Amino acid sequence: MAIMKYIATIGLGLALAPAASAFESTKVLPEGVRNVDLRSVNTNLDSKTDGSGKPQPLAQPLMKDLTFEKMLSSETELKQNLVRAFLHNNDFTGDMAVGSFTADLKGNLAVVAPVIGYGLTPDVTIAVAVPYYRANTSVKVGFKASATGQAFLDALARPENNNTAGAREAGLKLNDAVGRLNAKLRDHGFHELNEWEATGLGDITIAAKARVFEAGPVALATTGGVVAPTGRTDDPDILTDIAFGDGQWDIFGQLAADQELPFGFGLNQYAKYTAQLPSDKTVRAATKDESIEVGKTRTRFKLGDKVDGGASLQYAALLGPVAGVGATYFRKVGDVYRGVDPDVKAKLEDETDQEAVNTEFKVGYSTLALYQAKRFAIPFEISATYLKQVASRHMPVTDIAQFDLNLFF
Amino acid sequence: MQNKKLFIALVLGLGAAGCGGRIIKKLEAKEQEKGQFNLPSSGDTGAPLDLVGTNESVTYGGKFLLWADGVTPEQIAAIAEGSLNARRVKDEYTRYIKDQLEPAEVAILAKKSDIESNDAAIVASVNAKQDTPEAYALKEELTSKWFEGSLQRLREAEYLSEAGAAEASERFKGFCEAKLYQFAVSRLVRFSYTQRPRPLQMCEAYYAERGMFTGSSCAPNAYGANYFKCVWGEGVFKTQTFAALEADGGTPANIGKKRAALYRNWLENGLLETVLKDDEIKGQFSYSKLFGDAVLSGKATGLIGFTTPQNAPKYPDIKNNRDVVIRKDVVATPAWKAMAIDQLRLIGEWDSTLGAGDAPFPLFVKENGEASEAVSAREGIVSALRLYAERRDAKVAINGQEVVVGYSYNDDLFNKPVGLSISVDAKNLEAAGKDPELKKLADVRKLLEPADLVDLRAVLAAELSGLETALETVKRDSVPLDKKLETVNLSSIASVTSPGAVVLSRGLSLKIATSGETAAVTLGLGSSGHKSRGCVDLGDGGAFACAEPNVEGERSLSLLSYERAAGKLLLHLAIDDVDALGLGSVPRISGSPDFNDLQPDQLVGRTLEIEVYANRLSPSYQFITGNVRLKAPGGVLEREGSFSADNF
Repeated sequence: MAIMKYIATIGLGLALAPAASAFESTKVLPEGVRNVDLRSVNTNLDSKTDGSGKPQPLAQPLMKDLTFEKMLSSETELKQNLVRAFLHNNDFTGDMAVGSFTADLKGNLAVVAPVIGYGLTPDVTIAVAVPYYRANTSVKVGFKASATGQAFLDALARPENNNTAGAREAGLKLNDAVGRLNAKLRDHGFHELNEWEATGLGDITIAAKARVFEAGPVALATTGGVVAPTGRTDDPDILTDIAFGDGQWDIFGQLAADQELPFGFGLNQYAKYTAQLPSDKTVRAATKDESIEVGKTRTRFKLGDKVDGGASLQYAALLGPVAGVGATYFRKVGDVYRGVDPDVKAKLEDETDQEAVNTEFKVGYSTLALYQAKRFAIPFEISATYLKQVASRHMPVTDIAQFDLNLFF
Repeated sequence: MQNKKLFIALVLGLGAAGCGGRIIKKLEAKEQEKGQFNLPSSGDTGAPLDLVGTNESVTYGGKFLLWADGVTPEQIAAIAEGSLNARRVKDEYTRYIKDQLEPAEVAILAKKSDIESNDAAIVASVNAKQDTPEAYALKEELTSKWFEGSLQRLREAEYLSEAGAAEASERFKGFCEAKLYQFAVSRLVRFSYTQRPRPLQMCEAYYAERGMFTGSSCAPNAYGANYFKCVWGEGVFKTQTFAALEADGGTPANIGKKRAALYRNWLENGLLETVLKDDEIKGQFSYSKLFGDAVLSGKATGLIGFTTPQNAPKYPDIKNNRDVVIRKDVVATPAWKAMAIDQLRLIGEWDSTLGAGDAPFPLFVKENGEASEAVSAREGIVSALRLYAERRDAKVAINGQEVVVGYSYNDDLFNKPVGLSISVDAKNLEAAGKDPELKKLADVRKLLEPADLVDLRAVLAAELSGLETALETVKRDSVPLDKKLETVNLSSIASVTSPGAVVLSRGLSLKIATSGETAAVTLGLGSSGHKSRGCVDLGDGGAFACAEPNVEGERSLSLLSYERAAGKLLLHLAIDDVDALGLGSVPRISGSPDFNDLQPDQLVGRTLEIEVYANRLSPSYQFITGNVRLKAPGGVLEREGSFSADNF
């Protein structure tokens, strides 16, 4: 659903071994060597950036004013007209807010993604990543009474208006605004705003990497693959769920270049393009003005293609310590929906173009060199990566911790 | 070995993966505040929503309407605003009347009451002082030397010679005796007084000179006493006339039979009987020639006669309910005869049948060659004396019967009968005060008025004037309100009659009569005169059968309930006969707010539900508003409406 629609993208990107991270390389597995990368990604979600890059609470869509007109929406036409007449005669307007919903929404996401690789040839490695998600969201909703709302009740109860009974009835309803919101959600097929959690597979990635060029300290590698829509998609009836997949196939290609530097340093650069294929799904026919009292509809969609690239300076000492610092750039163009009303299409496509700049830091330990020198029995590499978002647009504001344990056998 | 290494590596890897979940703390959403609105209650508005114990009987009159299907917010707003505006104007009017007009009128009434109380206090104070020795002394001082003083002034102005003054003084003595005779035979002598009555206060010096009014019968009596004995025994019998008669021998032969008859008439009417039978008087006069046995036996001669006896009334003139009139020949003594008669003529108390030769004779001797100023000055004194001393008809109620007595300014000042109030001609009395000296006498009452109360009267009068001016201002200021009131009737709201707004607009009346824990509710619709009634227990809110049966044609409400907490009175009226209930079809007339577009089949079999909420703006302006619902059997809501009514 709308509130959490960005999250799957981030989780997915970080979970995939062949996917872009600052610390890419052109290295491939030796022929016949297998590799298991036990990758763990954890992040929290509580805000996202708007079109200008300013952070906004994740619960922003819930933090809406309750206007007189919204309040009247469930009443009979005559009752609506009677109240509108009263509003007119007492200097209120229908768009005035009787109060505002307040909300706090937090998400927690943990992904464990075993990435299994195999050296098909000395220059080609194939891999498959199977992410497993564990996610939950916590939401609390409140209601802040406005002076306008109180003035409305007081006006009803003024002696000359003589409608204390009406004021009490309206006041009791407003004082249970959250309960009535949940009831309204329930009446329209939504889940009430409550705690949510789920576990399950994400979208599975299958990729192949080829070291296509090597001349002295310089090497180039290409990676290509697909992302299968195996993860749970967004539930249109749950406002606060997290999608584990985006519901359609992706095809991606990547070019990476390594430049070995003296003293164990190396420079890597990469660029990646992901094409998201069209598909269809069921969505809520939400509009800018109404997101609850709406039905469901099928829509064809084409998520925006993604482009990302990055560069990193990495260090690998012979005795095992590894480290790195890098930066990445991510860009996704806006989604396109078809077959729905213009207002619904506008709402679905709104804020779907994304952009982010991140810095990444990595420390770890590798026994690969020692193993190759027969000075260590087990070839493995363990590392911790911290991603810090520097700037973004329409993206969750997240700092991501990633742990990798690479085993070779 | 290889597998063991792999196993160890896997364990390490999973452990490392697990570390990821601990590096970043799991987030929980923060609890959100659920703000609450303050809910108004009936107590917040001060509205009389709780009818219990009010013991009020209020009849509200107004209109109810049912909305058309396509009514717009704008139409509703216009009607609601019109209704609200009418309520505000009526409240403003009521408030104005209560806060401005009524207080102004009450203040004026209160001020008038204050003035009346103050005047009563002044009168009471003056009356109290009027009968005190001090008041008498003051009045006596102003009157007793008046005639002599007047003569002195005439002498000083050389309007009168010394001989003329002496002659006038002698004639005045005859006048004084004549006034004594007049009082002695008048109805006045029969009343009670706290002081010995003065026939003419100005004559007191002469009466004293004659030794009159010295006996115990003339002593003051605080409780009031009859002074007939005093007047006759100490007055009449000591006049020069009596003295002269006795000295002259007073033989019965000198008295004509008719005079004797007249005198006998006095006796027969009890006027003289008491005094003549009095031992003291008998002792003094029983053997006199005048009041000997012959007199008592009816053979005695009398004092008073008439030149034209056939025209003379009897004494007293009971037939005409008048006092006696002293006539000529009252005095037999030649030296006094002309004088006394002339003096009486001078004050107008003579018989109108008298001839030209009996014309009034002045108190003063006419001197040759005197100036007109002198004549005018003397006539002024005589005129003042006449106005002061002349007894004119005045009314007095005795034993519930109004009788006429002769009453003078002198009597008003000195001879107030105990227990009787005599209406005097104030103008005549005041005219007597034109004389500079007598004017002081006229002001005696004012002199007796307490200064503080007199000052207060002036203050109160000024305040009253201010209040009356304020009232005029208030009335003038209410004119715009009156005009505003004329513009707020329902027919002035075009939306009521505009198409598509309302399908029914009819009159509604509701009488709510509370008594302790119960209320009787009477509903009337339209102009049918039909009423529906019900009674409700305000404690438990349930209906019960009214103690008083419905009057002819009156129906019972099908349901009546009261929700005390909400102040809601709910009436259900089963519609069976639309005409009888005032719900029959009424065609629209341009501009009229009374119409009903609904056909009988759209109403019959339904229930009209009226939800009533009472309130008030100013303390005396009460109104009710609420919802009206037309429901089909089974409670299916077919139409909704509103009503508004007030006690204006």
